[in-house]
Amino acid sequence: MEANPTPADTFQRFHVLHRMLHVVIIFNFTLLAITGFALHFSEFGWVQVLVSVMGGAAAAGWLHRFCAVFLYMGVLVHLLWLFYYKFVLKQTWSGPDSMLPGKKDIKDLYQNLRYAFNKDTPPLFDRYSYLQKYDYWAELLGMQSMGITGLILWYPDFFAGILPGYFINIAGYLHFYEAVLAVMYIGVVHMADTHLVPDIFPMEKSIFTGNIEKKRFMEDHPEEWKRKQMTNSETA
Amino acid sequence: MKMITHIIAGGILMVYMAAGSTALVFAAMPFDLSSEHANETPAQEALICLDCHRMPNIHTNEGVIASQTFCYECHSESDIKKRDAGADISLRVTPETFHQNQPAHRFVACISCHTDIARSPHKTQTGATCRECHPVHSENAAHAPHLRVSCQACHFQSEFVRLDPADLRVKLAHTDYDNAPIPLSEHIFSDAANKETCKKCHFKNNPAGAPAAVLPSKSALCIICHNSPLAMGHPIFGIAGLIFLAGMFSMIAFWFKGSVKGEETSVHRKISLSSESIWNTLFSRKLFSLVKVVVLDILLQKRILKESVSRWSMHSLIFTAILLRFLLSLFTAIGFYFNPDGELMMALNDKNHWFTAFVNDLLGLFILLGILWAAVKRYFIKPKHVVSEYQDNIALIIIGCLVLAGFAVEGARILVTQISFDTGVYSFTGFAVSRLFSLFPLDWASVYPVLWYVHGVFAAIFVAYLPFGKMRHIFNTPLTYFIETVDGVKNEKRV
Amino acid sequence: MKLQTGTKRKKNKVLTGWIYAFLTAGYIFLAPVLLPCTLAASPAPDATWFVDMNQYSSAAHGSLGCEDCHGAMIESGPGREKPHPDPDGEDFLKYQTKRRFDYQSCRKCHKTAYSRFSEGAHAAAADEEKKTGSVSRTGHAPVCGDCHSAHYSKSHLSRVQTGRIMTETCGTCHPDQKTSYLSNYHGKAAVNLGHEKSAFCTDCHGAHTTMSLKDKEAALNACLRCHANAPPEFANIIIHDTPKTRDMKNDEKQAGLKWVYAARAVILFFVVLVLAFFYSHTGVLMLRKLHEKLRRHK
Repeated sequence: MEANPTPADTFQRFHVLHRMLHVVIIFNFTLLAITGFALHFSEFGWVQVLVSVMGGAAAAGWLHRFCAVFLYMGVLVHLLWLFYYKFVLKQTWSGPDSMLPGKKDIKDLYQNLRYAFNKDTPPLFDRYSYLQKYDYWAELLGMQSMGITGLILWYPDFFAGILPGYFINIAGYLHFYEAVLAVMYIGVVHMADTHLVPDIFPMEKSIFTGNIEKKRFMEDHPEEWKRKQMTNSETA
Repeated sequence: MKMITHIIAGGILMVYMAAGSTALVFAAMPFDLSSEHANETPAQEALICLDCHRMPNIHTNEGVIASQTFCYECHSESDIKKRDAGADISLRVTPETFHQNQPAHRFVACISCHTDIARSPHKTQTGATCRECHPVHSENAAHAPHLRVSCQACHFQSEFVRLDPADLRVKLAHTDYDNAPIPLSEHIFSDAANKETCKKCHFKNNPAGAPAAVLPSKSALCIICHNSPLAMGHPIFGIAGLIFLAGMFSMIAFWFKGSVKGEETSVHRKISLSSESIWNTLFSRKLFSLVKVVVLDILLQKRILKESVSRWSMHSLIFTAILLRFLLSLFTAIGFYFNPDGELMMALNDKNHWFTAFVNDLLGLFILLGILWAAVKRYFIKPKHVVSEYQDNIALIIIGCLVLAGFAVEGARILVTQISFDTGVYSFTGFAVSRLFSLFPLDWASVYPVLWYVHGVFAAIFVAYLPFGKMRHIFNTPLTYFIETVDGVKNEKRV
Repeated sequence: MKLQTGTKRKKNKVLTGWIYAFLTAGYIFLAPVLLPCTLAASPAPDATWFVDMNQYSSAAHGSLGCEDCHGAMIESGPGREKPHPDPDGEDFLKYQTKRRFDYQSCRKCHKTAYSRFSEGAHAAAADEEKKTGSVSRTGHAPVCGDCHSAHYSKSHLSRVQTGRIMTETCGTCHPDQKTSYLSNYHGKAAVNLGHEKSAFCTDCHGAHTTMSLKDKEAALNACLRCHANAPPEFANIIIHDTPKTRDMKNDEKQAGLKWVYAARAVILFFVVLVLAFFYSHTGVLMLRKLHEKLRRHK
């Protein structure tokens, strides 16, 4: 018997690799946030208890750097996949199935805001909505800047050899504020947009199972549905 | 059998945890009980020093007497004085006068209150503190702006007060209003419950930054928005409360004119039947449906959201803000009663604390914005489905004026009590109002009481009017929802 | 809400029992952590005329008698011709005892510390104060008694314990440096988290030989004590970055600090902008979608 057969009326949206990478992101992002903020907010008693449970400041620091490297490995795997996708599978990096932003996304944002104020119908999204594209790029570029500032803070003696000293201070502030932005964005906006949307609540499972129901497909990504003239046997 | 083994296992676990935690507590003890030198006794000559300089245990009566004796050595002399601005000020305190003037403090060491005086130079920086033993007053006795008044300013019998510019606290003055130095060493208490004592600060052109009149305390009715004591306050609130009760009574009496479960005539039986019905409902499974109605329909206003997002937003600005203010006030009032020394309670009691100031101003602003939105919709946009009867107008005007008057009082309070920018910025609306007021050269210390009464009168009218106009819906709508849920009959199908 | 009957109910009882057991155990375990520690020794009030003998006897100087340090005061003997202070004296009760005390008596036992102190900036400031009579803008220059309590200082404290006390002591006169230190990695790791490898005040500024690190060379030497591979530019990393201490730095660092403030302001602005936009975006859309869903469920 085939393991987890795709039931009728669902379609594969996410390949196994992407689902695994997303789990990697969740796991590492959470631990990075916990260990990082544990250092910054260490004046609170309960935070100190948390750090001692982790094994002390040195252990928490090690865990933070470990998760950072682990997360970045995920980024590299993703980049490798992108090359595989283009050069081996002969697909394209651009086009309606891609994460590249376009004019449609700006139109969709405008229409979505008008819809929020009851002045228009909701926009018809393609494979990825403008918010999902923004999320992707914010994460990807965000990880680069967090990585670079993190590296600067990790090896200040090396970087003081090539940058002015106060750059390490700036890196410190950028690292912290961007962490705050990331956590507050993911924790509220991303969680709300994926799981708390009234039609989807309590949970959007497709990033974990890889499959999307027909109903969700037709409602959330109507342009892609139209384009691909979906039948039951089609795959993404 | 299995259950018993589980309980025993759990019990052993508990004992283990308790032992572990006891060890943890002892390990974490902050004072060091061990020392290499603990067993060595100091040399014999040093005892002369220690006769006076050993710290007495001021938690014992014997220690208190020893400590007081040290101070009385100098301070009971007849010629003990200090020189100040060319005058001799007596610093004499004798055991007899102290016992006479402060019998309750007979077995309290001088250094319990004068905590930093027993040192050279013989000058205090903190003055005498009562807070070592006594918690601050709640909203009841002396409301939040009195948090910056030192205990002695009210409780000591000296008529001269000052506002210390360094820490903006109101303290007893060491000089009279002609700048001649006065002694404060008699330690005589005043009768702080007597309103005459309040006039020490609350008079026209006072130096304490106090309003020019003694205002009554907030009433218990004010707890809808403010941390309030369980008192009537000014009689106008008592009257408002009575009118409110009368209105509610007449409303309920009208309902009971109909038949209850077939009973037409006997009011006694009607009340019996309906009480039984309510009791049975509360103690049945229907309770969960009622809870669901409370959460979804009352707290989250789901039915309004179903009608229109803008209406929901407008109504929530008013409703949710008032609800949150009410919950915060209730929490503060009750919490303060149980824990007046707690940091959280003291912060919530203090109108100038950044959290309390910010939250109250934000929520007040929300109410005002909701009212303004409603007014704009009702009087300017005038959508077809909105009909404005005179009761709608009254309700809007009362709440609108109430909140506006509230911000005016706040602005005047901040101005009169000379709150600095660093503290005041958190009450962003009130502070802005106070800056606006400062442009007008009025005697704000005298205007403030007037504004207070204006706000109070609107509050009294608001409460009194509740059962009579459109505001009745705050009682009737939830009641309707409950009845619907229990009956299972939706409004549309009712006759 | 279905009533559970039969075997299912029995299962729940056992589970409930375990849950209760763990909860109770948890409370007992957590109680000392959560309750305020009422076992702390009552601190001596600011009444320095009195010595708390309980604390004194368990402190570092507990084996010393009063006359070992205060000898001059009681030298005179039973008649006490030499006053101890003299109640009839001009400045009786008016001077600060810490300022008057002859700290040569510390030197008797603490020779190294005394000689190191005399090399440092605090001793230079104390000399300056004695000469000119004016106080620096930081405050009175400290001598032994200003940082160390002769009566109550404990011995055999760990590095972290000493460091934490030190942060409070130094912070009394240098509050801005204390604030900036505690918002820096070194302060957070060392003081808050008890990380021994991190630096406390004296690790950079020298114990007793307290020195300013305004000079880049001096600063680099301080960093090199732990960061062995630090290049010269490393000394331009700013530890104390609050605005009030800006003018105590050399020009290079002051310029750098300006850039840091500018960068901070820009970053904070963008963070607030992005969050404000997306929170309101999500907020209004969520309300609209909830409304639509409610209308569909008639």
